[in-house]
Amino acid sequence: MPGSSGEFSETIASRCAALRNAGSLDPASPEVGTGAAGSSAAGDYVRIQLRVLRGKIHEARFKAFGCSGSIASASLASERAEGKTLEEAELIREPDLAAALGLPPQRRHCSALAEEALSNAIRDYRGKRFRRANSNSIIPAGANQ
Amino acid sequence: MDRARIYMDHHSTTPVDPEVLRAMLPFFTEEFGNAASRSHSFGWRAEEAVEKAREAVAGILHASPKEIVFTSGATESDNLALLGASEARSERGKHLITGATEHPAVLDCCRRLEKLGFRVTCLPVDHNGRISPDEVRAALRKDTILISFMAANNEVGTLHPLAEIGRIAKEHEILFHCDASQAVGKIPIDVEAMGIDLLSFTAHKMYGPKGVGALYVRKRNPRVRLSPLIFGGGHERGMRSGTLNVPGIVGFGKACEIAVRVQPEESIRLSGLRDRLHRKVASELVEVRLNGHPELRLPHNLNLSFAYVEGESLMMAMEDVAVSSGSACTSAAQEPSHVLKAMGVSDELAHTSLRFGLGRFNTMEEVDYVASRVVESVKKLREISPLYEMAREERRGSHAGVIR
Repeated sequence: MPGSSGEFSETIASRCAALRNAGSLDPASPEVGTGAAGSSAAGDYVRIQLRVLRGKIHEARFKAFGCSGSIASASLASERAEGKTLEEAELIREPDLAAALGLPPQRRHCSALAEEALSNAIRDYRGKRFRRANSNSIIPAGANQ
Repeated sequence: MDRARIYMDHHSTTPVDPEVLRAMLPFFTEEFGNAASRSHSFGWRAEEAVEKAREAVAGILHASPKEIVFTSGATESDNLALLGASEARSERGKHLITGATEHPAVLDCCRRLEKLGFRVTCLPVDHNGRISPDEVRAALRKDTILISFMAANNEVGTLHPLAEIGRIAKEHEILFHCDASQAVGKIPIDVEAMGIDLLSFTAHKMYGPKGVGALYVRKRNPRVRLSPLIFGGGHERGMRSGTLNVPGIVGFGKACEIAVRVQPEESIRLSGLRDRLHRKVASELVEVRLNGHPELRLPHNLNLSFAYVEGESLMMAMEDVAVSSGSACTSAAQEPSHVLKAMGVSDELAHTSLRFGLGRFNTMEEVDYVASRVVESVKKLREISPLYEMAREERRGSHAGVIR
């Protein structure tokens, strides 16, 4: 078959074997932000979910359809997000994920998807807070962050 | 990796049969002569061995030894057939016909010919990957000089109706080239009965060594003329210059000899194992789809799509099993297989396909082990697949929380 998958990094292999942080959180929960990136037709679709309690990411979960690099990147991004504030989690970036996993250059789209899904999850959570704050105008938008 | 590895990727390449290796070894050392050396016994012995091999290679196709040109492999054979015959026939016309699921070795030659001013019609296939002879007939033009169709597809194993295509070619005095790399030694091939004028194949897909192949070039009715691609010395009746790869050719001959001997029984054994693998996997997993023709396919091929699980991640999950995937993760966008695409398989499903290629040394125990690894790995990966979760939710009729 055409093409090759490139070199498999041991880190990718071990992470895929363990699948740390795989799972889902209730997307309807006000504490949960959900973000996705990629498309199944393009071969990679990644979803990251965050449960935020008192301004900190208490739990992060991922699900991924895609190559081992995408699965490993989503797993690593969700693991790194846990325990961080949203602002700190925004600093989790593609090059750091790629370096940690030893992703070769032709597979950098894997780590890019994880960064995108994470940032979409943060945005989703903030959107929920903003809407809640506006419908319940006792707490001003953006407070308690 | 300490665990025993299981090889089930025989469409890609095969191990050299120990009997083939034994036949080759003397030709690296004591019988090292150049088959073109006419002045001493070193050369004579090498030439004799090459001619003996040529008979075996011709024999498996029901051809005559004089119709065999040794090359470096099927890719070179395809190049020589397509570029060489098109150039030699360009006075008659400049139109070729081929199919959408051909190997890149054929399709890239066609692209090259287009650059040189030839026109190529690339015919679609049906959802099983088969070419329709009626469409071949309909695509014919006054200036058509050559048609090229593979015997069996390298990804899904689907067999093309060679004899019917050959008949059409004969009726219109058009050359018929067939890339039979996956088919020779696996199913009976008869260049006379199938009306084939040019046929490419290679040793390493049939338990011979890498780096040696052949092009069958019909000598009579009609006598096919080719413009060579490689010049310098006039070896192989001027069609392919260069010192012959004597050990490789000897191994190729032995591989053909063995294939003729074992093929009838081996194809029954392999299709039995292949069906067992399919049955075991499909009985324990939902939404497993067979790609390729359900009957008219290679006995050792099994191409399955495992919905919601990307192929490369599935291969990674069962690292001790060597198979291949229709999904290549090499660039920003993963390109699904052009073969599955041509068969109308959706991109998403194409990304979930795995190709199993069984071979001479696979056992039933290995098949059972691979089946259990596949089942376990697909289940595990579906648990982390957002697509699987969405599909389950859709089935439950609840669209709450579906994020695309």
